[in-house]
Order: sequence, then structure tokens, then C-alpha cells
Amino acid sequence: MKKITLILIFISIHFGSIAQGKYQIGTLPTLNINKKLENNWQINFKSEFRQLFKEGSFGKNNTGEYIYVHTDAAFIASKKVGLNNKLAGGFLLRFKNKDVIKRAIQQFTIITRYNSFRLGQRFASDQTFKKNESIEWRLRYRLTLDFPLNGQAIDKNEWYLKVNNEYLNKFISEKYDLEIRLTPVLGYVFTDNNKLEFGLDYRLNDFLDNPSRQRFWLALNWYIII
Amino acid sequence: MKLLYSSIFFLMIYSFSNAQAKFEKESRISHKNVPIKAKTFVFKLAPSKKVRWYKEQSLDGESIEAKTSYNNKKYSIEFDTNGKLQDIEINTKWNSINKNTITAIKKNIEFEFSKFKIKKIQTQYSGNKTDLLSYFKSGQRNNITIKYEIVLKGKTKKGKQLFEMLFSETGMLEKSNIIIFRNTDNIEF
Repeated sequence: MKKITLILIFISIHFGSIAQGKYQIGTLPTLNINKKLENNWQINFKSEFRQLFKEGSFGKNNTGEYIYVHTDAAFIASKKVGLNNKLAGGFLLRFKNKDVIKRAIQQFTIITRYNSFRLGQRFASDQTFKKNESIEWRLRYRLTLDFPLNGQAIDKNEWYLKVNNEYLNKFISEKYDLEIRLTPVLGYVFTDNNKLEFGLDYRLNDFLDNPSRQRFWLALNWYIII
Repeated sequence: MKLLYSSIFFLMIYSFSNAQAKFEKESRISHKNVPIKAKTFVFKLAPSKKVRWYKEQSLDGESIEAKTSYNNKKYSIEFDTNGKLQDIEINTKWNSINKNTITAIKKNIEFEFSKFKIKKIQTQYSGNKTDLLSYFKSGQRNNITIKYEIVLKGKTKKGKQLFEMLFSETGMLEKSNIIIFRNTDNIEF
């Protein structure tokens, strides 16, 4: 009983500190186009358009104001290196006001297929280059589960549920931050080459030393293979 | 902006028209929609409390499949839509297969692949219902065909792929298909 009380106190303190922080609410539509090439190569183009509709601090009266945040364009080439593994690398351009932020990306993915769901693991690193700022290094690990809402496989004209959980370790100069992402989305398969997903993209960071920052994005992902 | 909308519209048209020719779909169905003779057979064979029923649609037509576990064994029992039994598949361990059959199967697999790893083995039983029930209840074998369906990761000159191979009871290779995976773009990126 003592243990449970201690755990409950710890959880309430933890969430209490999170609830004192800042928040942002917005939309994050993403277009993801893939093209399969010969010899197990594939190219991926991803564009993301971020808009903010409300931001402020928890427990305070905040006003909503539309803010265009940025547009991303990422190009990644990947090569299948095993039955279920892919190595990938590419770059991202982030168009923010008049600036163009550049990011180099490296990733390794492992897909495991079970009877009624698929598990994807992504190990990634990236380096972001901003004008007059130190390079930002990130080490990322993402776990993805997708399973059908009907039957044992996600077939054409069927709905599915996908859940992402990602941990991002961010290093700038000597500063360190951890960001945790949780993205539950509902998806629909028009064909195996055409899927649409929508749901919540929740991101929590700055909670190690400071009042946390929580971001709630309405995610809309469109995946196409051409 | 006009250009952006036109590009998105073009992509939509292109991706919808690019649908795959292969048609296979399975969906969970209620036991209420299963023919009584199929339910009765499953109950007699493996009286488990939990049976999941699926309807499978493919280019070959429709079928109904029951999946259940009984006495620590996983069963897949396939019927046509009228409830006529097609086959029974039971997950099997490599060591439980006859040694001579194992040798023959291994020889065939090694001939096909430079490297391989077995992922799943199922023993496939077919025959008439009475003979099958009598075989499973009392071990008395009469006009039953036994085959082995093996899913394995195999390495060929083209690289590593997943295969589904069907072997006769004596270990002769009868069929080999490459398993095509569904796209994983929404898990990778």
C-alpha cells in the first residue's frame, strides 16, 4: 500500500509539473510519396506543412491566433539490406519565413510481421544546420504498430489503427533535451499504394529541467507509391 | 497555388488508377454467418471455447476459415462457403516430422537456396470429414492426405525473400510461392 501511495504521489508531482508548462495546438498535414527502383532501392519524398492555431501556458487565458510555422521538404533514398531491414539517408529543407534550414538524415528500419499486426522499429539520427547556430544533433528511436480493425491483415478498403511512439534525444552544444512523441492515428487503405491517416500527434519536451512544452498536432498523412 | 492543387489532383488520379491486380481480402465474420456443418465439424475436432471465423476472398473465390487453439496446438480449418471442408492445418514443430521426410525436405530446400531459415511449419490434412475425425480422435488413418506447408526465409541470387513451400508426406516439393509483403511506407517514414 505504501508503495502504491508513493507511486501515486510521484505520478501526480510529475504530471503536475507537466501541466504547468506551455502548449501548442495546430495541424500537421503530410504528403509522403515513394517510388520503388531497381535492385531494392527506393526514393521517398515527404512534405509537411505546419500551422499553429493556439499556443500559451496551461491555466492561463490564452488567445488563439493563426500562425504559419514552416513547410518541410525531405528527400530520402533507401536500400533494402535484408528481408525486413532498410538503410536510408537523405536531407530535409525547412522553409521558415525567409530562412532555409538544412538537415541531414540517416535511418535504419526493421519491420517484424506478426499474425495480426506489424511492428516497425526505426533507429535514426539527424543533424540540423541553422545560420549562426551550433549544429543540432538528434538520436531517435521510434516504435510503430499497425493492425487492422477487421480481420488479420490490412487489406484494400479497410481501416486500421497505427500507433507511433518515438524518443528523440537532442544535443545542441552542451545542452540536452528529450522529446517524447505519441501518435495514434486511424488509417484507411484505398489500395496498398494509397493510404490516408488522421489522428493526434502529441509531442512532449523540455520536461527535464524546465516547465514542459506539449504540442498537440492534428495529423493528416497521405502515403502514395507511384 | 493553382499548380499545387493540380499536382495533388494528378497524384490522386494516378495513385487510384495504379491499383494492384492481385485481389485477396480476408475479414472477420460472426459465427452466426457460418454454415452449421462447418461449426459442428470444428466443435467435434477441437472443442475450444474460442473460435475466430474469417471470410477470405481471392481470385479463386470465397472461403471460410476457422482459427482456434486446442491442446496447445493452433488449428486453421478451411471450408468453402457452403461449409464443405477443404483442409485442416496445424502448426507443427520440425522435430515432430518423420526423420526421412525431414531429410527429403531439407535436401529440396538446400537445392533451392544457398541459405535458409524456417519461420513456420504447418501440417496440412485433407480427406473426408469422418476419416479426419476418426484420425484425430483415435489415430486410425484412412484415406487421409498429409502435406507440409513451410514458410521460410531463403537466399537466392536475387537476394533474401520469404517463401511458402508445400511438400508431400514423403518430402517431395509440390509448390513454391514467393510471399509478397504489403507495402511498409507508412511504418518506415
